[in-house]
Amino acid sequence: MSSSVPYDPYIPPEEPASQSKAAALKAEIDDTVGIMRDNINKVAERGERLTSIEDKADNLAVSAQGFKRGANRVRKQMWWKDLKMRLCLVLVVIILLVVIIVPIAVHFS
Amino acid sequence: MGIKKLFKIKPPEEDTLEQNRETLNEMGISTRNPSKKKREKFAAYGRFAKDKAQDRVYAPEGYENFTKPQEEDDLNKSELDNATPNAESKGGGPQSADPYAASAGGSDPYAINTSANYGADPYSNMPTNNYQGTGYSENSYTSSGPSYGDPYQAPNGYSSAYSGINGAGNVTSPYGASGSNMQDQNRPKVNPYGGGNFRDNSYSDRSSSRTANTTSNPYGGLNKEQDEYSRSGSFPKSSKQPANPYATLGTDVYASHGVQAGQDSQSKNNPYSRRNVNEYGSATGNEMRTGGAPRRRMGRPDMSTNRLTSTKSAADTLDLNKSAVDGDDLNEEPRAGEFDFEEERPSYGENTVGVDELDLNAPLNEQDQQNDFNSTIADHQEQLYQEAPQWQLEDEGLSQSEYTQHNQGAYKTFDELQREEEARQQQEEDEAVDEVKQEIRFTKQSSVASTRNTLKMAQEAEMSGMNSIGLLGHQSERLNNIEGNLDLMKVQNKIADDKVAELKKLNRNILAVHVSNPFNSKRRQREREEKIKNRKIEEKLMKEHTSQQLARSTQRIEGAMNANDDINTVREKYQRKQILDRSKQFQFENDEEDDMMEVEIDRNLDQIQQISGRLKKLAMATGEELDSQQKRVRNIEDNTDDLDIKIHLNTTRLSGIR
Repeated sequence: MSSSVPYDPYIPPEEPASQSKAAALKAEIDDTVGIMRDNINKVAERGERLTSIEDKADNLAVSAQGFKRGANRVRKQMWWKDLKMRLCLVLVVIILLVVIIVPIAVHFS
Repeated sequence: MGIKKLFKIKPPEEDTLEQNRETLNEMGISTRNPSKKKREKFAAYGRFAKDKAQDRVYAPEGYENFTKPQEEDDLNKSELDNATPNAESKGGGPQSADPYAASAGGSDPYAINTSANYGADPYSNMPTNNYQGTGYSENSYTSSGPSYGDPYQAPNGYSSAYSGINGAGNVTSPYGASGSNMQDQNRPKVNPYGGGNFRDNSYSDRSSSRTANTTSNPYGGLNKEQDEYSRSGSFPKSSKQPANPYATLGTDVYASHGVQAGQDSQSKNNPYSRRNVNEYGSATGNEMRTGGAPRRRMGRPDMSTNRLTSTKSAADTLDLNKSAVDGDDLNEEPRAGEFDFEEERPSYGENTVGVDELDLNAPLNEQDQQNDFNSTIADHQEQLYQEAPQWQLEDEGLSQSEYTQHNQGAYKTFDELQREEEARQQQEEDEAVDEVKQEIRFTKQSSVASTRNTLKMAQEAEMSGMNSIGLLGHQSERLNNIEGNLDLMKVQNKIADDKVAELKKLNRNILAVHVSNPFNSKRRQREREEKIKNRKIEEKLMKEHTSQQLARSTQRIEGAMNANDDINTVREKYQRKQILDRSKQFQFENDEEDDMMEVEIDRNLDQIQQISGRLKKLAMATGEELDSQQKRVRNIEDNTDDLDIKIHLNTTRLSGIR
């Protein structure tokens, strides 16, 4: 056993070109399959995420709707307030006018 | 309140969406522009996905109607819901205008054809595949593509690399289609191996059945079918022959198990004359029977070599044999002759007969072996053996009588006997060699077939990979849409926030007059402008980011889709010699056909390699795209949550205003 290479009676024949081609092909395909497996996992995860997004989007829609209703309510409220304010002002002006005009009219008549 | 009723006054109606948009625009708040339609590159895939998608609901029997979501009154319903141009409908594209929708609707000839065939008969579209695929192995792409059911294949530019081949496929496909349709109608009734049935028919029967095969002849249907089949089979072949050096190979692979190259070329040369061959066969077959048989018997030692080299004389008769009717008669002859020398070897004769029998059906058989794993070669062989005994019996009867005739009145010398013995040994050896050669050939054929099959599958895989990446592209567009909307929501929410704060401030006690400091009004103005500017810049950045993401993902997908390098045909021409040199070790007494097969195997392997390379690229692009989309989805999720909370906060603040 002087040689560094251990004796091996079976020396594999050198691979013919087409076989090596096939082997390369196989390796590549295995690689691809591995990548695709990863991809499948990713897609599955993404699917979960998308579902949760759907939920959240629903929530968002609900709260946006709530906001909208609230805003509408406030708008109407404000409008009434505005109306009341105006009425009050008009009333006050009228009263003032009455207060001013009536004594003058009484005074000159 | 009485006054309300009295005066019938009520607050003004809510603004419609358009009015609202107008006012917002007047105020300088960005809104969505409904009239502007973004061009979506992958809109067709959305459509495709919609067609493919199926809503799966699970329900026990009888409870199916509960699976439908119940229409409940949406309390939150407002006109906004209806008025909003629905993003989905926009994304899918206007249905009537969608050019792909029409093609999906069933105007695609391939789609219809293959779907019909698939349903009715597993074999029927295989022959078409086969014939289109002989030589042009890319053609299987066209026929497999439709079977995949992709209506967008042609319209979407990415398959442009194959479009030329598509054209080629189109040229031949009418024949193939008609052939398969014929088969479609006839096949279920017919045993594809039932060539043996014809041997009982006389010539007259045969010819009459040819002319009127709709009549009561039970075999008429079969004949017709055979006819149609053989014709449909041979048309593409012949049309291909001038253009395609592999036509020999193509037909041969499926047309024969044996070594009759000459026969094949013969049969190929007169594809139009099936009938003629038959008539000719009926006329000359008889002649051959009378005249040819003795000649044959005399020339027996030659014949053995003849058959090995498959010279013309063998091919001639065998060609006639191809018309199934003549098959038995003519085949008996050589075997009757053979019998002198090789009583114990009817197998070869059987084999030839079997092959001849199977010639018409051979494409099917081959296809069976390839595609239908249920019917094994054993089946096929069984069939042969079932047929064999009858002939053997006949043979024996015939040959014995002939043998006696032959031997009568002639003594054989020792030399003669020895020579005979030698000749026999020689022949046996030859036949052993022949058998091995046949085996080699068979293996090679099956490897050609399997490479072809693999190629087809690889192409299908590529197709579906393309489709899925296209779908990803479409989804990326949708995601972009969502992102854009979310950005807009964010901006508008901020403005709403401001407004609510202002309202709250204004809604304080009437006596708490708010007057800001009049001395730094200029500074305040500047601050406000700064704020507006910043907000705008922020918005712009967001938009840019979003569109950048989209652009990147689109680019990635397009890159993956356009990656198909054109198929290198020039290379093959130069490498042919090299390939043949390399494959020397797998070849034994290689002839032209053998070389063809080697070249085809090599080319198929090359193509598979190319496709697998592309597949890998596709897979990687898909992975990247998925990653980026994952990130985007996560972003969207976060943003949505954020926005939800903010809006909720605003709502509560709003409700605090009285």
